[in-house]
Amino acid sequence: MEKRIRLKERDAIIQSLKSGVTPKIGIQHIQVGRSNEVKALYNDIERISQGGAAFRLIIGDYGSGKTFFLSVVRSIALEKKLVTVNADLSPDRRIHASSGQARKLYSELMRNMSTRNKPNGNALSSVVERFVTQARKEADEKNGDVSTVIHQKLASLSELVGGYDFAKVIDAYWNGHEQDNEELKSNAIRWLRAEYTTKTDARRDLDVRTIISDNSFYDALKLMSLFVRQAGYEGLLVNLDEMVHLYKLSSTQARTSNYEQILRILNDCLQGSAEYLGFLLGGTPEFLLDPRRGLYSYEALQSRLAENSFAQRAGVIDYSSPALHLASLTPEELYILLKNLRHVSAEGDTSKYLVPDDALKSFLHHCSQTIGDAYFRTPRNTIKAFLDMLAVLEQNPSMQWSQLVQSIAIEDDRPSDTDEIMVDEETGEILNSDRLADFKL
Amino acid sequence: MIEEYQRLDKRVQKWLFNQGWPDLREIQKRAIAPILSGDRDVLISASTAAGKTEAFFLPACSAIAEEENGFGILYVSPLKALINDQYRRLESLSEMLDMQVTPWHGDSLQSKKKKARNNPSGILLITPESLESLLVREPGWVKQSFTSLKYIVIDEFHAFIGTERGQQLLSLLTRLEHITGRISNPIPRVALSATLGELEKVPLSLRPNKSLPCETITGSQHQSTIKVQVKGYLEPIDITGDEKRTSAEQQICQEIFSLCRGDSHLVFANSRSRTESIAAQLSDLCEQQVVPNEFFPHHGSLAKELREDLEARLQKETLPTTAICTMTLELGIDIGKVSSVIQVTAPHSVSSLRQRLGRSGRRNLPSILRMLIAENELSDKSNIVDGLRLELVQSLAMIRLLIVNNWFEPADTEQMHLSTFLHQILSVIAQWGSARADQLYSLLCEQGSFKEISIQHFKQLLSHMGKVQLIQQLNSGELVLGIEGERLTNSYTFYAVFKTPEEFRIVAGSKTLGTLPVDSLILKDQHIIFGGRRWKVTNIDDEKKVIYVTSTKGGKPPKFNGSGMSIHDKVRQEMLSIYRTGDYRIEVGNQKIDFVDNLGRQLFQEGAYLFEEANLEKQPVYQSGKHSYIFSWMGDKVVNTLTVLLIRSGFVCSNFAGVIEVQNSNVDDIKNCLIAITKDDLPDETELAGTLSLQQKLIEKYDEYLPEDLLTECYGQKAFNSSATKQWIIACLV
Repeated sequence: MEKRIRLKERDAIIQSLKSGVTPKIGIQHIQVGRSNEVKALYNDIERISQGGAAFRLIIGDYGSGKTFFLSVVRSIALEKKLVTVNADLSPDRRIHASSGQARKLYSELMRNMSTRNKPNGNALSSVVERFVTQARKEADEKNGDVSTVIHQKLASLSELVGGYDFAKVIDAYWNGHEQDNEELKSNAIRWLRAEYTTKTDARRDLDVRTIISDNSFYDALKLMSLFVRQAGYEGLLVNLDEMVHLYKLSSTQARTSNYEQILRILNDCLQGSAEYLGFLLGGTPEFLLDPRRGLYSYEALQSRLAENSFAQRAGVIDYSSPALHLASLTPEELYILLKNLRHVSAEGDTSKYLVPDDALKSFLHHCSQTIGDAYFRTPRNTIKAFLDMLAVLEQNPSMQWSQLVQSIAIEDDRPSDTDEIMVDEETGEILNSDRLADFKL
Repeated sequence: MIEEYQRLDKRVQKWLFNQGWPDLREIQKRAIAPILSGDRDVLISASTAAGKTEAFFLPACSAIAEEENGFGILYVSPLKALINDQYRRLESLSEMLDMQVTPWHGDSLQSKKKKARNNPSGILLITPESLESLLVREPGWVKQSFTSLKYIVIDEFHAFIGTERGQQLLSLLTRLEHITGRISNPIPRVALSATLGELEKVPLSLRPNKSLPCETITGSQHQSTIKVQVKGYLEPIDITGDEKRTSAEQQICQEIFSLCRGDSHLVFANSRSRTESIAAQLSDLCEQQVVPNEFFPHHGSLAKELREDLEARLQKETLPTTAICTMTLELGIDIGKVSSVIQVTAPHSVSSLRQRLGRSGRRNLPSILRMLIAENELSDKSNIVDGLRLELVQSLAMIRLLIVNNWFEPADTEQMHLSTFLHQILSVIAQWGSARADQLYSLLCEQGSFKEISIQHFKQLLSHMGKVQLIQQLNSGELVLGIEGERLTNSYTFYAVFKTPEEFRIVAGSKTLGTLPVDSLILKDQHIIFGGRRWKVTNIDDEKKVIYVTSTKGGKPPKFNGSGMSIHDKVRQEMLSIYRTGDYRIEVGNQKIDFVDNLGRQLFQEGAYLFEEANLEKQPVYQSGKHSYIFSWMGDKVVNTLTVLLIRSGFVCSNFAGVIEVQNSNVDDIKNCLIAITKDDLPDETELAGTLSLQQKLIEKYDEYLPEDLLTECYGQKAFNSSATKQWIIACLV
């Protein structure tokens, strides 16, 4: 803990947490608890890099830190030289669809592709570049044609669905590189990002007959995992968060088709037909357990994802089962988290701490008075308030923390898919809909 | 004229010139400025064919002429046929402006819809149900396509006020403003309407949260001539064996046959079975006389093709056509005007009568209304309702109110509309995926149209919806659809909030007599009239929707049943005034116009005579033989209240045409009973509604999903009025 923390990481952490999102870098400095879970996922990643596959459902209540956990696993994967792609599901993005929503999810995944050197996304071009560079090197050594080398390296892909066209697109990228044709290169990247919506356009630009569309979501991911391997990486990790949006789909048909796809992915991964590929799906307990609308409503999934009955009886957790339940943070863990945040804020220098331990305790006490249990169950706003307080103290060295703690206002975290209703300030006073804030069925 | 004209887009001006109109009409000129301002709602109220649609479209199209992306005008109409008409009428104007016009409803062309989907712009013509479907199924596309919406225009607004569909429409408009982020900067709404009572209250029905001011434009009184005639017919007591006398219906058909052949007319018969029967008789007459058949039925249960064929025939105006119809032809489909309108029974409201009258009267010709009313021939056994010729007098009263006072029923705006509210809750959740309780309340009640629903009601409703699996709550507090809610929203029938009324089967012994709609008040031991006979209700089976009856004595039942909930106080008061003065004639200048024929006049005089004989003016409660009759001369809400109060106190009574018949009772008993009830507080509407069986209160589409308390409260508001009843008792009985 005595190491200095780089300013870049410190800023990234503080800024992200203040706006309520998970930081992309520097996670290791604030990770608290969950050591067993992290170990289990670490083993999964090792397995992926050795040619296996992984499938995990990360289940946690709203605000329990699922997304954070997924980010932690992601940074571990990056360190182990995997390529990661991640995306959140939404009403407009899902796994199976017929009007483009699956394609949009795929595009989002590709846009967020990250590598160790480019952890903030947009790494697709670099991955392709790397592959092409390697192919060139090989071609130079053998004195052969680069295109032939490319096709040789991608031969294994051709066996899979869509593999042939995939290889052709990479080839087109190489040609664009050769001919200094920026447009061809960017078209190839566009194709890989599933941004082509019609086959005619793809045919015209790249001379391929297929595009990545709703139907080829999973197949395209399998191809990508083999491709990144050929590009010199250890494998591909796919993070899909906010799976609860499938649960919220109002069409039973749509929901069932999506669950079918999840079953297919699960089977492939756990049977060993997928290689160098891992899936992490983040969702709420309802998403998994609801017998009428959740994954458990699909019988085949229920049997595969059922809890380990021995572990249940023995009162322990089986960390090897596909469904991993994350418990909420405990108050003690939250305390440690705040200590870490204080440490990060001071760039790792203990002499620059803005508040003493007492302040932390007092702060947490105040939070519990204000919003009750929610302060550690859904710590998002607690963390935000804490960082706000630190910011004020930093900018006003003369102020005392004791003055500030009492006046902290913490909002209750109330999620919803419906847009907030914006009204003018004057009318805002008369509205009494807030009396429904705590409504429970 | 020049000034306003100049403010229109140049191409619109050119189009006007091409039309060859000498001038813009009054309301068209006055509408230009307020609509172009874009900062207020506009209400245009004028009689049919006064040029309302142009009054809106000329300035509105000018305003959006330069817009390219997204729809500029949203036009909402109650009927698909109306939309098709409007589309035709806008063709030339839109061509001049190079503006896209898209009709969007269940039957419109897919190619047009697809074109609009890919490239939304111009004017969208849609029904409330199709709009609902878009919001639920394609919210993303809606958000994009309606960002530049400048105007929302609602045609035939009078058809929406106070109805379930109207509530749905207002709610949809609020949701549209919400999804496009226009709640704090609302989209101006323009309402086009023909007949409206109490005009000052209407802007509140257009925008309940008053976020924009409203300017009202009324057409100057339409100076058209109206010709009215009421003809009476006698229904003979017994026609078997006497070949010279024919039933009233046969006489009426003969009349229609002679009046209507050779030109186009509308005959309103108020019930499907009556429609069929009259149409059948008329076709037979045509066949007998070897002339082509010009008489066709039109009602909701008829096959779509038959209805459309008839509508097309009327629209073409090449062949003389007489349609025998129910309410379905009341709304303003542009089938062209007919020569005259005939009513075969008393109409159920004055606004309905006005709307129907408006269908007649071709260019420069007067509107013609004929009412052919039949009353029973009298004998010593006759019921007092028959004796007073109530159906005839009700018709006269309505005509007077219409012509002399220019009055029509004001819309009932205090209803909770719980069935539609429940529907909207499900719809909003389906649209977004999840929503919080406070958001739902804010959107639907505070910003939206459901102003009568308190937080208490709301919580009660949500809890019940959770219980019946319509909604569920996630751990995070959000509400999502439950398994039943999903089933409802996935069905293609979800988007409409109205339904055809359910009917109860009437069973005597082991024989089914027929069916009766549920909107009439029926309690155990009550007497009902069916098939011209009197029956006593022995049991009501909620589950199977059956009413068991036995034949009963109690005097011959009156011909005119008229039960329900639609007659307003004012109509009955007018009837009372006609009886009192003994004169129904209409004063015009110094003259009194008599619009009733000889037999009708005779029937009226019989009724007026009986009124005086029985001294009904001084005696609201009248005894005749063993039974008593209460004449409140108040609307159906008060009549229903009195009926239920008496039943609760142990009397056996029923009501026909606003008259309450109490079995085996005398005047004092009744008076004392009612006065005693008034001494303590009268039970309120909810308590009264509690006496009815559950099934009877299930009127609207989603009523079955409401918690019983709320349903009872809602029904109580529709059917009863305790305070008015108390006032009447104090005024008339004490």
